[in-house]
Amino acid sequence: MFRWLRGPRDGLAEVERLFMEMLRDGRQVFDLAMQARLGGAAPHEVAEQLHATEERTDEAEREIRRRVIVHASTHGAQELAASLMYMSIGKDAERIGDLSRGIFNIAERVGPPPPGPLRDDLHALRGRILPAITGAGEALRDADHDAAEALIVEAREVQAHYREQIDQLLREEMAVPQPVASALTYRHCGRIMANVLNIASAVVMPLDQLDYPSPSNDP
Amino acid sequence: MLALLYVFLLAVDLLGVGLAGLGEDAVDALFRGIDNPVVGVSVGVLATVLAQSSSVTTATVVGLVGAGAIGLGDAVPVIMGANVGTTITNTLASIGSIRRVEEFRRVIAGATMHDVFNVLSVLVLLPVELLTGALSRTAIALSALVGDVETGEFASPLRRLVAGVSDQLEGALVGALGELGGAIALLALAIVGIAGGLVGITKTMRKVMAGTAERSLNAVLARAGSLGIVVGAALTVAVQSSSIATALLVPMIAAGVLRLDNAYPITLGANLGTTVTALLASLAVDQIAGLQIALVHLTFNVAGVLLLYGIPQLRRVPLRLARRIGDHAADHRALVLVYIVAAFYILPLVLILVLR
Repeated sequence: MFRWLRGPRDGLAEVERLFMEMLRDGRQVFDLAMQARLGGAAPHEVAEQLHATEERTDEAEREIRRRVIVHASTHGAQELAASLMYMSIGKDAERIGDLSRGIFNIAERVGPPPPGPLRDDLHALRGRILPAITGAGEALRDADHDAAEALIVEAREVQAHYREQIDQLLREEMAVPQPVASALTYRHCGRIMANVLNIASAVVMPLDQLDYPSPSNDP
Repeated sequence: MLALLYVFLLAVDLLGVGLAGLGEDAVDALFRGIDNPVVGVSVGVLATVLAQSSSVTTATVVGLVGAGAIGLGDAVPVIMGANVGTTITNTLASIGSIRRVEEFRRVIAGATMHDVFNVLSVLVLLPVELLTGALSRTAIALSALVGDVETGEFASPLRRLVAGVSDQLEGALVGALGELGGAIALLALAIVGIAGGLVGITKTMRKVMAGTAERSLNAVLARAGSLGIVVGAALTVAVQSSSIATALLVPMIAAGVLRLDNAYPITLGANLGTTVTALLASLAVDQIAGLQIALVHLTFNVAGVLLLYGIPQLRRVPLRLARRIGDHAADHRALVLVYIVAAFYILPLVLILVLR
């Protein structure tokens, strides 16, 4: 919905490029963190790359803010909506890296869960979140409403699943090792998916509804 | 765009034609007292504040000097005053942040940095000019490269483009309204043409140059230095307004993404870039004095930059003073309104009335 606001080759195109880089980096941080959490790699093996990539997303967010200010100063209010959108989804992309670091911190403290249904479920969750991050970027870049709406549906399903898992862990209905670490991992994955949902919502929702996509305000 | 430029050049020429129609006595009465340098500076400040554009003031002064209404020496303080007056735009823009203390502190420092630089330049260079005539002598020497200083003639190719239309307008208005009425109408047309032409050029170019301005400012956002001067000058030449060029910096300074010491060279570049308007205006007059006052504007601003930026010990002075003003302004925000009204309106008006 904001595609036409961005113009053909203006400063917001550079902001979009930075945002796409942030998403790619955020995806990589999540991938590395989940590798460490699920035993695919030892935490110390991926730590350096993970921290460097996450720092890059932080700096990219600051760069986006600076560029949005310069853009608004030189272009006035004509692209205000698109500028505010990038400020909003830039924060979402930064949070993906931030929350992924949280998953990595859990991995550093407790290591991977032993093989079993919980580990398999976290593996499956990882398999749904990774393409969702990529898909959110592509949907935004191509202004693809259908893809964005499909992502919103997918994100809601993932969120419903992680809430159910956390409920079961809280009520101790699921006898698993590392219950607290697992609940926290689900929580972080759920929040990452919420940020993906926010990015997807920027493709289809009015600016005031960003971060609040619901069936009632679907376009 | 070319039409707007033509209107601007035609208006500068009409100014001389209209003044000639008023007669020598009326012109003398109009500019009585301007030979006092303090009055000259005050006139420059007040005219620029009222027009919200130093370009309008300097282009008008070029027209007046070119028409012989005021002498080169008398016009120099007016040109300097225009530099001071132009800074009001940023100071006014900064009032938008008055409710957010830290933002206000930054933005007032950013706005008054330009004030401080221009006031210091005048305080140093006006006495130098009055004692030695260094700026006007340099301008005269430079003008000798393209015109005849002895006869005072300047064969500008652009003058020929506007002279015919100017003569036709003069004939039509004098024929319809009489000698005096025609002269007054020509003067009114000239003022409206200069201001309207410049506003049109500025608005058009601001839109056209927005993308380039953005890329340039992104390039100098995190680095101080001479590149900032180049960017500031180029932006100002492009939009034909130092006020617009420096006003672009206000939101960036307010947000804290452009530091004061990085904004400083851009502001100085804007001072240099704004001299192009007067040079452009001088192409519409056939007396070399018009070109000479435009060159005084250039040499004054170049000298100011060389002095207050070229000498490292002095470079920090405007920044320090501006930061101090920013701190005081943040603590006593209402004083900023008093400062604007007193420094830009009341003081120059009182000086003109008392000393004229």
